Amino acid sequence: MLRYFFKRVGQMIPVLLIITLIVFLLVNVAGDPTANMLPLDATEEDHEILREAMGLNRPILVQYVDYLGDMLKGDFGTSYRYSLPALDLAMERIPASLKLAGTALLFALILAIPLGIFSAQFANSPFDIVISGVSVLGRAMPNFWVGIMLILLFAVKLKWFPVSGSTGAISLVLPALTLAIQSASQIIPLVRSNMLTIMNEDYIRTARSKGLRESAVVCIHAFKNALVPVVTIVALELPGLIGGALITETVFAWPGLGQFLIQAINNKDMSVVQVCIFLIACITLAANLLADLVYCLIDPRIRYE
Amino acid sequence: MKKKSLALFLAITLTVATLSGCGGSSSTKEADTSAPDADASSAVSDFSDGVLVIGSASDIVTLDPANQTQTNTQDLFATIGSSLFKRDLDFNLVNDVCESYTQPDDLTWEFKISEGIVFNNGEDLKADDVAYTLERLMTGTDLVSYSYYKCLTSVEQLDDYKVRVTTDTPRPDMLTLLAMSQSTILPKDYIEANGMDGYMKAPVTSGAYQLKEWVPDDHYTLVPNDSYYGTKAEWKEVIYRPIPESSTRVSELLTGGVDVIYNVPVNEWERVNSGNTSLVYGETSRVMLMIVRMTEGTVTADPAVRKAIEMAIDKKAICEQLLQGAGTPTRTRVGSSVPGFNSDLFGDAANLYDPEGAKALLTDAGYAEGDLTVTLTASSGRYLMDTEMAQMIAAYLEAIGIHVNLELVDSTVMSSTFSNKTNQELLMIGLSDGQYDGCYPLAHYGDKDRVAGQTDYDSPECQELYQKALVETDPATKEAYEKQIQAIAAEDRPHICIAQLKAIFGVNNGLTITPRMDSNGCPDEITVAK
Repeated sequence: MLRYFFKRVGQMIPVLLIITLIVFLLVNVAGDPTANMLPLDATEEDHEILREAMGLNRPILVQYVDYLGDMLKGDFGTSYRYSLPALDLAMERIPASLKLAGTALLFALILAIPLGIFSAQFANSPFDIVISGVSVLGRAMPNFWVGIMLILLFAVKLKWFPVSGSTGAISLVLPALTLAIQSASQIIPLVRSNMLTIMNEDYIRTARSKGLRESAVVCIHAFKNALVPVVTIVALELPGLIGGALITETVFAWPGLGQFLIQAINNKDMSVVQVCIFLIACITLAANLLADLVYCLIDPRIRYE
Repeated sequence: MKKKSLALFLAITLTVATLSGCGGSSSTKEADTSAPDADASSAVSDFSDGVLVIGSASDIVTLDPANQTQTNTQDLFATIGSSLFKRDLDFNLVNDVCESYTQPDDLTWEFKISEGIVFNNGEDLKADDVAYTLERLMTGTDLVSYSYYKCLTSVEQLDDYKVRVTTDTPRPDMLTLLAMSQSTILPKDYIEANGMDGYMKAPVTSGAYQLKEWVPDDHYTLVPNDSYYGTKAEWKEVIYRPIPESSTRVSELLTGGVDVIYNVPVNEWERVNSGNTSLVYGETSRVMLMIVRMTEGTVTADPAVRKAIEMAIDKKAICEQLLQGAGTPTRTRVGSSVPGFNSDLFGDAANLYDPEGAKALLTDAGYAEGDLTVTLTASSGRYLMDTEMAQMIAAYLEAIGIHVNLELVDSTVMSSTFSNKTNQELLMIGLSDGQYDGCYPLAHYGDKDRVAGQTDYDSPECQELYQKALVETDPATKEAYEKQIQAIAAEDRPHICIAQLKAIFGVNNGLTITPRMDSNGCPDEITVAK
């Protein structure tokens, strides 16, 4: 198992290198960063002076090799906008994103698992139909719109929560709920369909015939086996919640990595874009590895060489 | 056993990840990070606690005054910093740390600094700090404000309170340059001891307020500087909260989470202008205009076509109906409060709307209906009602028989099109004046190299007047040259100016705001309503 773990960690390195190369090339063809840094009607001479001072007029291959060398030393460049190390700036925003993503995932699981189980238990009942309809609605509604609607109802009208910002646990609720609604909408049907399949298995009939309480049959015997695909979805959701929550972070002025990345893209702050994507890639690969390891816990039949 | 080890490893990993997520984010200083209670009532406040909260569309970008051109960051340095000169609330240039100045010749300026001014760490502000600041601006090619100050050729400290500055050419805009926030005076000794990195973590400044803390993308807080030499700060605490999404910003204003917001979108005006909040208009120097390609071979190279285009557009309707009063028709690139502004080209006189006259003009020039096709490129969401404005203009041109290919592009694409000079016949853009000096925007008419490949405007008359204005030290004569340039350009139409935009603030009714043209809301413009 340990060998498998280190092997997977080793496999991450070439993946990350390829990602940095692709991102570096894409960011460099996206346009001249000095266009956003200088006043709109600065002269071409002004642009050239700044490009030379920042080393942007060197051949792209030279820039990439220098970037790679610095990256291996932990230096991901300096933000053009903030004039501070890009990695430090991005790392400052990770805790806020982790807080939001973790809370959103927790909300999603609290919503989705019981609803998915109940939906399976009362399959084809009106209760099941309502839950299925709501989960489709959750997937269809854009994040942006859900967030604004939650603000209008719970913050402006009812004044139960703050409109935006990151002051205390209470300000986490609305943005986390916004993200959780979409995640839960994907998890509910998955839990439901897995539970339906498993509840028809022979060992479930055996468990019932042994006289076990229904709750024990569902929660201990059935649900544990239904978890494997749920773990996959959760592992895939986590990096998306951290790096992909940029719209939600913007709507709620949440100071996370997503909002930071959006600003960097708009301002052509290349170092920041590169480091943010690198971090998101690391989180994605780590989440996938974590999911594979969790499978072993859940299903003893799964073993890695 | 293996399973237990794996479970323990995973439990530790998840715990570490969760705990790191629960950690607070770093800031420039150790300080109280609490933002105001957003559950506060939206009732009119009496502000007896002395706390003002401003909702801005974006965060400040840096704590290095020389490395920014963004309005929010400029506002910050106008509030916490000092320069040799500054703008008062009426936008007049007045002395700040400079007590007096002389000009021994056209290229030399000598500034006497007032004594007794200190930074907020107790160090005296002297000539060496001024010299250090200006030298850095003059030589820092990696600074975004270098282009403004590259005209300086030398900076010399004459004594503890006197500095001599020389320039490459006569600079009648010198005082303007030295009033810009980019020239905020830095503490030389402090930076030499701690480095610029150290300064950026805990800035030492000399303005009416000082920075208490900056939590990037969350808020930054200003408190009064007790050692300030000028009018004491009105507010006990000023908190800026960057809230990028406009509807969220409005919701914060309505719930009392913030007290002032800038740049209220049109669809929120009714919501803001009711109850305990109101809209307040201010001036800006931003002019919505179309950059017209006059390159030989293009349809807009013909002056009759350019004139017909301007005559086809009802600027009054755009300002009154589309912008709902948040714009004024104009035919000049220069803002109405900027020295050198030509008032003959502003207001009702700027609306040449005459579609029948435009059609007749095209007919006389030999064009039949449908002969002409132009591409109009415009941004979507960068300026107030920009998409709708472009659509209206396209409709006006279609009405006189000019077919329009309307390209609505993302803001960054529009910027690149402008900077790279890849615009087609018409590019709609909002240009403002970073220096608030009439000459600055007129470079587009007076410097043909500047616009080569963009408008290709080549007017020897404008070029001659521009060169004269650049070095004319008598303000009245300089303004006369600038007005003439504007009049010529209005007829030649390398730019077809549409409207000068107004700034739109949403304000709690317990406050009065006197917005300045160059700011998004500085504390000294905002007072408690009597």
